[in-house]
Amino acid sequence: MSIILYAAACVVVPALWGLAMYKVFGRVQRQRKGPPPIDYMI
Amino acid sequence: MDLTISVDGHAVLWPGIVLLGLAVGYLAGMFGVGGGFIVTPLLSAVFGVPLQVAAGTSLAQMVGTALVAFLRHQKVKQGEPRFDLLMLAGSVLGVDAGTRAVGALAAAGSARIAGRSIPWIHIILDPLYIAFLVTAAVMFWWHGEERREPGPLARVRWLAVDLPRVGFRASAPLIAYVGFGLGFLSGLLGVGGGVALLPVLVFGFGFPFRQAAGTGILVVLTTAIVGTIVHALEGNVHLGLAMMLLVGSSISAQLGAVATKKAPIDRLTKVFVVVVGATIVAVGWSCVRQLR
Repeated sequence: MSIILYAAACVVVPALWGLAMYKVFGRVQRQRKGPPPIDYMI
Repeated sequence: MDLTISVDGHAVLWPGIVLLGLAVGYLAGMFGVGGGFIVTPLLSAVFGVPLQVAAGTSLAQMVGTALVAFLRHQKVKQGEPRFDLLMLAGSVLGVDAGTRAVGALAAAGSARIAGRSIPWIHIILDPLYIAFLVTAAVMFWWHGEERREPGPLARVRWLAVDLPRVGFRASAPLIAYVGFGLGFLSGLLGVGGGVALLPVLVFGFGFPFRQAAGTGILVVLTTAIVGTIVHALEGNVHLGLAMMLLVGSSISAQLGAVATKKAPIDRLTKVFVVVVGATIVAVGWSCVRQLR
């Protein structure tokens, strides 16, 4: 059971942090001029 | 004050991990890359984190970065969502297969090369990382040319479906197989896999470059989630390590994004190639060290 909870935490905690950063820095991103950067996600 | 944390029995210098996160985040902000292709080999080669743990931990921090990239791409409508959905079917199976493969390699023991005992996981994965990094450097050096017509893979007509944003049809099962390959690489190497997908989309299918760059984000996010779960169940994810990388990288990514505005793209590309080259040297040096 604890390993399943740990696996869930390994997904949920980084996702929540990513979501928080998206909200916090979203305004900064919107203020950037020019076309959006190409996102290669590698 | 103890500056080390224990990762799978190995003492790892945590300030170094924070610095790695800051450096990779800066690079990610400049170029819009996820960074997994640098994080995983460096965690292993420089910090001594076992490769399977480096791959699992890198996928966990990628859940955060890929979620942000996915949300951003939803806004700018870059990419071909139908291609993403078709790849998903294969990628979920692929990431599970890749994760099991890395587990099998970790359990396979060692082989004797030049009188030294070298773990199979390094014999197989280190050259793959180097090939992956070389591909990344080449893809960034070249990044403007575009095809105007469907590529050779788009000529496969088996159960073809319309891809409205790129304006041609492609085989649905073939796209699912591409997804399987991408998922397998993610599970095996702990990378997002965009650098492997990009040449397949541009040269294989004939995607315009911007549409190619936006395609695959949903797959990367899904494979990161599935890969993290499978790796975590195998005991291959260190959440503390993943969060150190993610916190550092998500903050410095904003500085990297600002730097992009101030420096010419040619110089930035050279910086990127130098960083990738340094990572190749680190992985190569780690290989040589094992043979000495």
